[in-house]
Order: sequence, then C-alpha cells, then structure tokens
Amino acid sequence: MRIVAFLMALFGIPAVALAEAETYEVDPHHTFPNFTINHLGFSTMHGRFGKTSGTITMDKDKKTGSVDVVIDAASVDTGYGKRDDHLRSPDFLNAVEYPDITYKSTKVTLHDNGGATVNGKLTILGVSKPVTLNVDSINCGLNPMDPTKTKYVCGFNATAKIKRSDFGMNFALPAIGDEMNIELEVEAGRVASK
Amino acid sequence: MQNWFDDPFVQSAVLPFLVALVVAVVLGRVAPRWGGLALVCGVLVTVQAMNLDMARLDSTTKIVLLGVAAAVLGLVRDRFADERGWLPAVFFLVGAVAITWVIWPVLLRREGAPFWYLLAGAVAYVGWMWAASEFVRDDVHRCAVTTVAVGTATALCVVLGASAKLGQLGGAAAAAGGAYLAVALVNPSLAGGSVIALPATALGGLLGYAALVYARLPWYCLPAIALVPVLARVPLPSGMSRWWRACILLATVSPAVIVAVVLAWRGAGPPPL
Repeated sequence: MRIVAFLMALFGIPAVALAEAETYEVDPHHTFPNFTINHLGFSTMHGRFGKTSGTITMDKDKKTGSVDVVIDAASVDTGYGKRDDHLRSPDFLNAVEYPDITYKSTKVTLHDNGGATVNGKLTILGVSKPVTLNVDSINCGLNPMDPTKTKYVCGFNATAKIKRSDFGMNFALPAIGDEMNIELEVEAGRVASK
Repeated sequence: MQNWFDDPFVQSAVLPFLVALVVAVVLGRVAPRWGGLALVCGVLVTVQAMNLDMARLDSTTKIVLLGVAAAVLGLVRDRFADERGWLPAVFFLVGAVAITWVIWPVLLRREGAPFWYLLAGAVAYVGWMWAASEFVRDDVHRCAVTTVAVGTATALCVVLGASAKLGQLGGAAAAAGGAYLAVALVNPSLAGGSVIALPATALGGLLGYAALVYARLPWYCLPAIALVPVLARVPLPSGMSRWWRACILLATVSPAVIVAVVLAWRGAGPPPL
C-alpha cells in the first residue's frame, strides 16, 4: 500500500503542476466597457469606450484569477461628437491629462455556477477606488469563426455601479447624474503557453 | 436655494460679480491699492460654487493656484510703483514656467518636434500675457477693461472649445472685472495696479492655453486675445470723463474679443445646446 501511495503521489505531482492558470489576452474588437448615466433628469444616456486592452488569467482548479485592463479614456463614444469632445475635456474624463482608465483585480473568485466575482481597483482621473464586478457566466470554447479551429476564447459580461464623484468628477452635479451603471462585454483569447 | 447655486450662470457670473463688487467697494474706500483683489475673490467664490476639488493637483487646480499667486505677486509689484524696465521680462519668464507646470503631464508624453511646438506656443502666449499686464497696470480703467475683455474672450472661446469648467473660470474673471469697472466709474480713488492686471492676464493666458491642450480650442483664437492688452493702451485725451474713457476702451478692445470668438466658433463649431 505504501508503494502504491508513493507511486500515486509521484505521478500526482506533475498532474498538479500541469493545472496552471491560463492567460487570456483581451480582444479589443469584441471588448467594450459600456456605461449609462442620467442626463438632466430627462433620459438615461448610454455610452461606451471603443479601445480596451489587457490580460485576464483564470485558474479553474483553484477558482481564482486576475484581471488587468486598460481603457483608452479618449475612446469614449456617446453617438454625438460634440458631447464626446466635452466628455474628453477637463470637465469630465480629462482624457489628455489622464489618458488611461485602468482596472486591476485584487481578488477573483470563480463560482461553481460559472459566474465570478471580481474585486479590484478602478482608476479614473488618477483616483483609485475599490469596485466589484459581478460576472453572470463565463463562456469558453473554440471560436467557430477561426478557420484553424485552434483559437480558444472565453467571454463574459460584467456589471458594476460607481459614483463619478468618488473619482473627483464633480462637474455638473447633480444635473448630470452621479451614479453610473457599468457593463463590460468581454472576449479574450487564450494565449498559447510557451 | 441649492438649485440656484448649481446654475452655471450663477456660479460664473452672478456670484463673482456680487463678491467682487463688495470687495471693490469696501477696499476702494479703506485701501484703494488693494481693490484689485476683487478679481481673485470673485474667481475663488466661483471655485467654491463649482465644488472644485482643490486637494487634487490637476491642470485646473494648478491654474486657480497660479491665479492666486499672480494676485499676490501683483500686490508685491504694486509696492514698488515705479517703472522697472526688466519686469515684463521677469513676468514673461514666470508665465512661461507657470504654463510649463500646467501642461507638464502632456509634455512628458511628447518627443521631438511635437514637444517643442507645444512648449514654444505655451511659452509665447502665456509668457506674453503675464508680461502684458505691465502695459495696463498704471490706469484703473485700462486694468478693468482688460480684465473684462480677456475674461470674456477666454470664457466664450473656451466654452466653444468644449470645456465649460475652464470657461466658467474665465467667466468669473470677466464678471469680477465688470464689477471692478462699475466701482471704478463711481469711485475715483480705486487705483488699478498689478494686483488686478496680473491675475487678469495670467488667468486668461493659462485658461486659454490649457483649453488648447486639454480641450479643443483652436490655437488661432489666442493671438486675437493676446491683442487685448495692446489695444487697451490706446491713447486717451487727458481730462476725459471716466465714463467716456471706459466706453472708448471697451470699444477699442471689443474687435479683438469678437474676432477671437468668431474664430473659435468657426474652428470648433457651435456649442452643443
């Protein structure tokens, strides 16, 4: 029995070592942070950022991971050029002075139901605040559009709520709402391990 | 009441006008040389009304701090009232350093020709505006009209250039300048001086160039605004009444203001109303 246990442990060690975290690179063409905000009490305005990059790691065995993304603040798009210019100005995003909005996770928990909770720091205008992303379900598989059938992709939608005043974005409060609903649509391709 | 204070027109016109009026009236009687503090008091009340977070050192808060520093520097300058030929050069250098500090995060990300073009434009315009305060400091009406004109032109151009926040600060300077001019028309003891001329042109220079860098103000508006202190030096006959002096000065600087605003409108488009 001892020999069997020893052999099992001996063969078990490489098996555990092979179950590493997988690294995914954010697909900038299928990843968009979206937001909604109250506009003057009349309607809820929608907008999104067009340029996102970063990496995500997932360890499905340990049910952990990490998220590290950078959003180009100047890529904001609300469908109206003059308003987008205003949003990029020092009144709101101050995109020239603070070109990057970043999110770095501090803790990722993958749930058994396929969802996840991501705790991390969101940095806007150089101010970092803790923000939790709630992920409904992470969906992974081979990309059917890939002719080589080798591209493994994971995607999910994540939601969060923030107050822009927490980040020092006080202009036009309360006429333009303080609370913002964030929804990220994310797809990321697995990076081949070396 | 809170809704009234949230109104941008109240924040950047009514409140600074009222505060500057009170400061100019009171100081105009007890310490006429200090009456020009009306400008910086008006701007600071707008900063408070807009709830600007002065604890964060970004480009906007740097501009406000530099405006206050310009008022203090102006007080010091007024202590030595005689002409000093080297002072315009000194103020030019101080203005150049000031705008370099304001746009430093952007300069750090540029190299080669874009770096030098940005820096050269900043130094030329803002350095000029700081130095140009010396052209108008010796006459209270020239000071006041320059403050109104530079503030108005900067405010309107910057709003058209997509930054209402910077535009509101320019508007506050214009409103405070208007209050100061109103008091100067009825109180002949008000003295003008660098205490108002320097922060007026300094703020105009800093706000204008910051809007060029951080918003979408077209650069070709700025030379028109730079002409205001020169136009305000128009010779006026001695013995002319204060009211006529003010009217002629306003008429003389108005074309520069109008040209600047028209250029901003054509370059940046109408405001998104």
